[in-house]
Amino acid sequence: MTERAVSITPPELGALSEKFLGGYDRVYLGSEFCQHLLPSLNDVRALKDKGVKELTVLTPLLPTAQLRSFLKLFGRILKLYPRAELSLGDLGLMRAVNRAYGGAVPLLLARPVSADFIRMDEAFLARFFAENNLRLLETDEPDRVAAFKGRGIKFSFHYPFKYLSMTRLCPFVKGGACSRACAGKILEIRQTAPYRGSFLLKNNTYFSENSAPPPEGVARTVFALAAGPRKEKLLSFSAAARSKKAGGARR
Amino acid sequence: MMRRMKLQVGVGSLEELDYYLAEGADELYCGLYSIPNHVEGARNFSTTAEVLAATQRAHKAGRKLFFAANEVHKELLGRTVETIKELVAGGMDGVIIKDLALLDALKKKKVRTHYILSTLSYCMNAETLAFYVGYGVKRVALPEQLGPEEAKELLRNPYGVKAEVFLKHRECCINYNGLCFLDCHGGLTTFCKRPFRSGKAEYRMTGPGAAERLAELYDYRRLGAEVLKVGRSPVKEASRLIFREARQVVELLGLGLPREEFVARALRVKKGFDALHRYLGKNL
Repeated sequence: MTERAVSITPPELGALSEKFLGGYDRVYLGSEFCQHLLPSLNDVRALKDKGVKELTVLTPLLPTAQLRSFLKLFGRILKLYPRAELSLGDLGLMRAVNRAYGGAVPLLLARPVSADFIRMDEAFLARFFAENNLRLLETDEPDRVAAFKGRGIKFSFHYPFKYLSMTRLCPFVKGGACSRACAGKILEIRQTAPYRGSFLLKNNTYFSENSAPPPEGVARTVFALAAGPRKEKLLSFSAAARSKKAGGARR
Repeated sequence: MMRRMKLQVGVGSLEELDYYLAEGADELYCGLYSIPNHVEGARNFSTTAEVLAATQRAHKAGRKLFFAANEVHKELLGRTVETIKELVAGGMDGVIIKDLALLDALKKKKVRTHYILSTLSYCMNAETLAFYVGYGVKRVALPEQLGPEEAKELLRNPYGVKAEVFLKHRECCINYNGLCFLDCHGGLTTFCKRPFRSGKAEYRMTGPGAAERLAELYDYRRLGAEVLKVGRSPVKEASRLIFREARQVVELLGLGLPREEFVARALRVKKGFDALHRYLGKNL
């Protein structure tokens, strides 16, 4: 059975109803791309108040001071959610959490760092996951999931945004500190002549659209709330049609 | 007086190696076409014999040559391990690596050399450094996106790991280059420097100015970064200009100037090289 999760950043949390969040098995909170979108303890409390049972905290690459401060915060989050998972984009955080909790915290390898790991030797990867308490490799690359031959790795699939690139020079910050001016915004960035095509800017990250439904065989699907629930419905219809067609072909 | 910062430069041929040895490079690095390494369109050597000949030539001049194998490619892992073993046995001074599986395989095969963690591996904090030290890393190229203040603890590490930085006002990706899937294809007009549109407005991926970058370099040096690295540009003349500018900047850093004065004088150096880059751009 594929677990269904929804991914939200802290500024998106306020508008979400208990009923909406109850439609998912798990909620991802935070950002694997931006250090300014990590949740606060109040955000996690708000999630708890909305009846969310299973939590995954998303974390990005972190400089030393931010890593240390997140570790303290995570200790408090664990008191609210003792089974909380940590999706990490930083190998230093992986080391620190494993040292602090002795492997008791379930870890996931987050995008975009996972893009390197999904291209690594599969035997090494299986050993690396086992040695470092990593449970899932988070990806948005359906072709890589399909091509993966090793059996020791399980995937969670993020959609409908496919990662392209990210920056620490946030396009939404106009001088000074981050005020989360990116909240609720997705910009379409169009190329100019002689180039063609467009891509999306969400927070500090550039994406293309993962328009295909999630591939079969993944342990978990993670839908980015920012794309809008309607988009998810359209993609599930498309996935259902694909299953039906595959079933027909087998007959 | 602080020790002079070392200058490291990437080369793609014996001719380039000779050029940079004569110009005063302290360390050099190179790649092979058959082994994945970063920078699309960069010049590489064709055979291990050529790389070993370059190693001997560098050693004769009292310099070091490193080998860049800083991409991830599982199908080529075995070949990459065997190539590095051959080069290390032949006297190569070290290897620049991104792929953790490669580091692991070399450690298992007991290949003893100077392991340099590529800037593309994103060693952003002291914990990550400790993690890679466990794999035998002796030097780290700092991520271009990490500021000196953030790197302070990492630079003062207890493991004796040295740090390299880039001349960022010339060579720095606006986005995280090791984690970037934008369609760059090397050359002089990289994807992120193009003009885009968002709605009716122009959209550009912008970064800090040269003064800020040079001030960062000053701080990195004061905090202990020992090597200034000049990457391999697809255009060898551009690399030569960047190297010459880096050499002048290193001399300025060695003068022990106050920060503001260093930045002002380095900006004047930059201005002279800007004109040469413009000339190069128009004529290539």
